[in-house]
Amino acid sequence: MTAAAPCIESTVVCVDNSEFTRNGDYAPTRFQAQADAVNLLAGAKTQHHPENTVGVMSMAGRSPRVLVTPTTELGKVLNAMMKMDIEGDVHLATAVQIAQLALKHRENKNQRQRIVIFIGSPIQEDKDSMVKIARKLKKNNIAVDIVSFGSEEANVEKLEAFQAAVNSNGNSHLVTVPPGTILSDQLFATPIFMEEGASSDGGGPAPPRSNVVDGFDYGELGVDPTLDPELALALR
Amino acid sequence: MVDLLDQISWGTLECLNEKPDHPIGNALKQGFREDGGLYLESDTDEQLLIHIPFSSAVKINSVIIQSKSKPEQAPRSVKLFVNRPTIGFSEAADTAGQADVELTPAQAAGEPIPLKLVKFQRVSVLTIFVADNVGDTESTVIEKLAILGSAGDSFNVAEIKDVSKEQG
Repeated sequence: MTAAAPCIESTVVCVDNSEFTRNGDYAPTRFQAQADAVNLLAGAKTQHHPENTVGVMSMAGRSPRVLVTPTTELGKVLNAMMKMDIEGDVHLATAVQIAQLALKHRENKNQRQRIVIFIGSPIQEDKDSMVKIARKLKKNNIAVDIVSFGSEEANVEKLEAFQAAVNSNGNSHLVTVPPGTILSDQLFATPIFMEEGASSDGGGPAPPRSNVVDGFDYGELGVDPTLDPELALALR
Repeated sequence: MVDLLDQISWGTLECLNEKPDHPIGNALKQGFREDGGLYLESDTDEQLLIHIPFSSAVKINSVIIQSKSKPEQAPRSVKLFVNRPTIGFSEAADTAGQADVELTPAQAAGEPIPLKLVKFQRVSVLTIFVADNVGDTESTVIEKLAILGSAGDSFNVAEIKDVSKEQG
């Protein structure tokens, strides 16, 4: 489909709530760092366009489940992250299938479809299965952003193959976050947070110390968005 | 029987698995489809799923699915579905459509494919599912796509006249 500007999007965020996320290598725990990032991401998406919807699902435990069907109400997303339990292992293939279904039944068919996967544990599926899943998503016009943290080295080959297979014209991104950093901060200047179309020629990520993020000059507000993203978003 | 081009709701037109630089517009739009250099091409594999919505309920007599200059990549097995705008690839492959066609070489070169009119009476959304192509190549190409039929009695707002002014 040709891109329209501005574009309305429906996003399902897949959260890694496996036992691996109890690890404290991302402060205070992988899970909490992830929750902060998810909340900020949902906020950014709903800010980009009033008709954008964001949904949340958990990937680990007995089976992946949708906790929030795509909605414009940010509060529901924040609530879901607070109530989510840590349990079991991630079932990535099943989770992606469920996310795909949730998107398929979105109310506004004009919305583009996107899945954002946070993965902080070793992926059980093999590389070929991952590529097969990716191609099916691409065939159905679904873009996928992946945030890899915690098990970056173990997963890098599978995730890079996945991203290459699902990417169509630069609509899908893979971001790896090293341990010891603040997950949300690392994501803030990446294309995952930015509006599609705002990232110009698909070159490198924006310089980290710039006060112009997402096309909006935070310098005017006197707030450095990399130091305090929540305040920056609130003031905006 | 006319070309239903004007009845197409361009805003909700959707084609799944198209290559970004060879979109559905190349095969459907006036001017684009006459140009042999502009065509619709499939992306990840050889299948295509095209949802064509109409602004009013139309009757469809026949369709043209043409790929003259790339006969190896022309569609072979095609299914047509009526009023199922959310049908996906797996569903389309597993269910019988309102029409299941194996294109003849003549049809792939541009001859209209006749349809059982009784099954295409009140079409709001026509879905075209291309299952495979002639030469089993990696991608399928469609140069021209035309839907022929008749529009229902649609209400044309431009034609409303102020009756009181007419009577003077």
